[in-house]
Amino acid sequence: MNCRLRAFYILFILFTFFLTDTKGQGNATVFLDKPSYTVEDLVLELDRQLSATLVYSLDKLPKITIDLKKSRYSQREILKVLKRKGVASLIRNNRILLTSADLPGKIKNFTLSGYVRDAETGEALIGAYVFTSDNQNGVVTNRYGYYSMTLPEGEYQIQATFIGLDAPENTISLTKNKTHHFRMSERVQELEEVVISSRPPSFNINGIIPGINSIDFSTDNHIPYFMGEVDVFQGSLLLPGIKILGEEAAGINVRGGNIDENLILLDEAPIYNPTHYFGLISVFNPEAVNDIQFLKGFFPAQYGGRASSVISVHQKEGNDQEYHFAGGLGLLSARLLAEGPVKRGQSSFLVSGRQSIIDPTELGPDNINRNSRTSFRDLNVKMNWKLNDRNTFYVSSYLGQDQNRTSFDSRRNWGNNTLTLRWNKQFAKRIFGHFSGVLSTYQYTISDPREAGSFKGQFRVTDYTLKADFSYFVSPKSQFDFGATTTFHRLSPGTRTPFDPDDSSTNPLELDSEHGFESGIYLSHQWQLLPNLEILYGARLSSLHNISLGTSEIYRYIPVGPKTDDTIADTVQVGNWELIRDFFNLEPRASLNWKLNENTSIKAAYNRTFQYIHLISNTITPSPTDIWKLSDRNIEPTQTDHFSLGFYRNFADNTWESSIEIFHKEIRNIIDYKDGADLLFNPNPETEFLNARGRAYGLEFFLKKNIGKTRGWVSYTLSRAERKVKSALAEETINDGAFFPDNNDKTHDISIVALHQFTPRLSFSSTFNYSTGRPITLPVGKYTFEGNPIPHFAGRNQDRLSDYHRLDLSARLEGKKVRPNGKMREFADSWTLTLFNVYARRNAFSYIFREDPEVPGQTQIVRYSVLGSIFPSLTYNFKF
Amino acid sequence: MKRVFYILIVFIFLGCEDPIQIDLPTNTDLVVVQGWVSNQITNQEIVLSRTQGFNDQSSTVLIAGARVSVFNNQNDQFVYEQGVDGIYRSTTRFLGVDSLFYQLEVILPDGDTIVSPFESVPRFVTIDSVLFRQDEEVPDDNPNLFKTFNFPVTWSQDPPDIRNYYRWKISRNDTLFNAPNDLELLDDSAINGNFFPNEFRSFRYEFGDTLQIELNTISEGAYDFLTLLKNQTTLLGTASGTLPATISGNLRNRSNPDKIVLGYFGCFSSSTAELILLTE
Repeated sequence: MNCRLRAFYILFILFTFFLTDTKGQGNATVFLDKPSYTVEDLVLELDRQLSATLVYSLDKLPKITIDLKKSRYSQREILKVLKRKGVASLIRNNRILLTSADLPGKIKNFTLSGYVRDAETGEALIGAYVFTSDNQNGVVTNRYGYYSMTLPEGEYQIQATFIGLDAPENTISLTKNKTHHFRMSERVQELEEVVISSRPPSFNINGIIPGINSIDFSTDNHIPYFMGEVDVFQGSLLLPGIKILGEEAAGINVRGGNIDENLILLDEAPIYNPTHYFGLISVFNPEAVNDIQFLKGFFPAQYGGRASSVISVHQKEGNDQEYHFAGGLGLLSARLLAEGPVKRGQSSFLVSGRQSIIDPTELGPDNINRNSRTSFRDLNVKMNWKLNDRNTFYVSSYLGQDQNRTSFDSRRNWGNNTLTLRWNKQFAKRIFGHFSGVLSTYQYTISDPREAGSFKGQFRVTDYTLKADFSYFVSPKSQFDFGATTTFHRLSPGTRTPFDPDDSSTNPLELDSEHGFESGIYLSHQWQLLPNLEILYGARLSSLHNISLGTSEIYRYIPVGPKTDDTIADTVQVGNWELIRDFFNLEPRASLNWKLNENTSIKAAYNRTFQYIHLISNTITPSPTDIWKLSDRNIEPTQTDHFSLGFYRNFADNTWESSIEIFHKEIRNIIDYKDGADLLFNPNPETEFLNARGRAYGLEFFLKKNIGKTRGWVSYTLSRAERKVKSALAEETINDGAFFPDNNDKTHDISIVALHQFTPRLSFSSTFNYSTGRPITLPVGKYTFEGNPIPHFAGRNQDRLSDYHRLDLSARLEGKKVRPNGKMREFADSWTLTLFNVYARRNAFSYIFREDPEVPGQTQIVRYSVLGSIFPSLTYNFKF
Repeated sequence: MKRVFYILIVFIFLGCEDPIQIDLPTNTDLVVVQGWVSNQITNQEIVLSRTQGFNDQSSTVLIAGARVSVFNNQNDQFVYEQGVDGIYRSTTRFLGVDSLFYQLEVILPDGDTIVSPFESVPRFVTIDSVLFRQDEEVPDDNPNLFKTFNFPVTWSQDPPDIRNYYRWKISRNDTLFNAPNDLELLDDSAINGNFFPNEFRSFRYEFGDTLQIELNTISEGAYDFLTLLKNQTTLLGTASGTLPATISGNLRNRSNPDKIVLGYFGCFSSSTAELILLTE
């Protein structure tokens, strides 16, 4: 690839060299008495005065007038003047060839660029489509609503579209590089339109990235969720390839990947724990979120650090025109948002807070959450300042706090905090850059006043990131993205101090901190190779330098045999700023879009990714108090190779879109755990680790109706996710070293979403979900030990829970929009009735194998369902 | 100015547990050993049984006709004989001596020999003192009530020079709290070398009740085994549960190494205390 790039650059330089005029030799003088000449007159005059032979074609020369500052010019000077006016010269053997500065027949190109914003709020519109009305050229705005399109000189009708929004068509005469900003306003008649995605309908055909889904948050609340909450993670589960273990599970699995393999970014800041209430809802406050993008398999070279997917969430920027307040009161949470201009049209702010109200985890059965109380609050802040057309500054922050208390006053507090500072800079018409400084922390504290060993424990991961990203828009057909990033990770894997500082019965414990610089440089090129073939290729060079700050202890193990406390060969002291281990890896990325026709395309993609930071958790679903750990001498980075091939077709003028994608993924160096691994405050957790390989493959089908009274989609995933833990040692092998189904393996996964507009005021929506039950391990027997029946298990994940299915319905009745006198009402309201789990299916989260509490000595199997009932909720919304 | 308000009316139903039927393998027929040698002079006990299908509700099948012996590293042999209740007891009263190691050998009726490694008797740690403590809580069934409850607290001195693993057995009026949740285990990583208290808040006593409490020091292997046993019987199926797996003990079938043997044979040192909760 580097060779191809080099060849491209050499060609580029040769090409530009050819365009510049070669130097004239003559010092002959010409006298020009008029203050201005037309090009034609001037050339004729030179032809008359100069001894060299002039070769030119008058009709190829520009029809413009040249003002002269003096009357006497040397040959070199006057050719320079001509060049400035677009007449190039080439001198060979006393002949001067005069041509238009461009190659014969070449048309001049100019760049049209600018921002697409919401006229009412000033909010940048991400993924808006800017195109010429002949549909020959089109680009999608980037993460900051910026677009750049280089077109041949001429007059164009330029349009921008964004679902639900309109901008007047503009006639732009492109005779030089121009800036044009679109300010788009709501299509009033379509306010109540149910929107599935903000992308233009043809995006799935034209986009280069396969396996991309985006969710338009503001309108998604038409799809019913548990207790009326709008949630990105719950919404994403309706898309192909994205799965969750169960209703009480934290985190999502993308195409068979582990939950820690998702790069979850909130305004570029990584989020280490994306959920509240142990997974029931996500940390993304729907009031404050603008756009969410899911990259399920392929991700371009600017993303790195996680193995499976990218979930990029952008907060709203705040309305730069007027002040607004919005709020919501749900059963789970109350929300309030304030936004408005700091200086109208130039800078704005947004503040949004959310606070939990009731605790849904209390709804669980007694033995699970007895006497436990869980709550959360979070705060989103964003400010931006558009200094001028070329410079915009952003400050964005998220503060989250979760708390859980049990009846024994054991408390757990945890939360993510982020701060992002960003400067977007347009260097030249075609170069867009942005620079970011990001701070992200995730920490938890546990306090347990109970004896023995009452303690306060703490874990913290802090990331300090510096980033520079550039986009160079060579032409609408060619764009380079390049940049560099470095993150300093600081992980405090655990400190444990006595709960009562005066208590001498508990020993303080502080595990060595971990530090590492994770860096990446990348270059990628998106190139329309042929009118119907576009490629995106590039690479990322990633590295981790795991270093010691202060002194650390490293355990070296006897090379043969299992890693245990007993096989530590020696303990090495590593000094301040000494390297513990470094890794360098090349991550190639390539994607291809071959358009068969306007409505059909085929996309193929490959990427390799490396992950240097790992979630250490051996419970079925991760707990907020799990730790993260860097790759080091004993832990290799996780490596993923992902291939996908997709066929995309739209029907009936983009009314219907469909896609079929197949994928295959190989994952190396996944951390698995020995039975009964003890991970809390463990100074050498590697003794509890097993090395696993993973593979996942499948087929994803998606059919969506975008337009009409009835809309919706069907998503179906047929897939397999497997794992293999094989070692020369029996105690480090699972299921005899054969591949076995991963916890998140669900063979079939179907979602059907239908939305119907009965009358302009009355609409219905329904969601149906079906999936194969997740793999579990059933007991192959039982035995008695000290009077208690103990289930006996053999091979892992050889059976499955019963199938999961659920139907949700909602109906929405709008208030009247028109007054009796025919004027539009300012006040709009609606009622929404939501029925979650309509037929009250008791979907199994797990099976519990235990002694029958009623009949001692007898055993029973109990199906545990988390939301095993119908949950109706009625919502009244109004705004004015 | 635009305002949005939501008013929700929601009816709450509880999450649920339902007993269900699943077809499971009927019999794996593995040998299970349960046995301890304590530092108290007594007829030490060994229980030999077989696994049965999880859905099989008949009582545990005990193995009869086995030849059971415990050896120490001074080649003393202690022969066990099966009693009428099916439990094997040493024919002589003996105790596990601190400095010695003990090995179990079982010759099954089918001729297979099952052995344990040599297990040491962990160092004796005493219950230094015990008392009742009182606290208040809001009961689940009546959130407006503060209810007081009494629970025991013990103090012990942890030896600083070695790793120690503890197990408490707690009884009320001579009835042992024996549910899987009542398995009280502690390792000394946070309290090494300290005079440490231990609260037993889930064990409730009324005035007039008698507490019998026994502190066992056990080996690391026994601690790991019992921890797995507790997790697989109390956390399995919950979100905080780990993946179920075979609970490996320390026994093996010397005749047929491929046949796994479940259970554990270990040694412990024991210290006991008794206390009556008197009216004020």
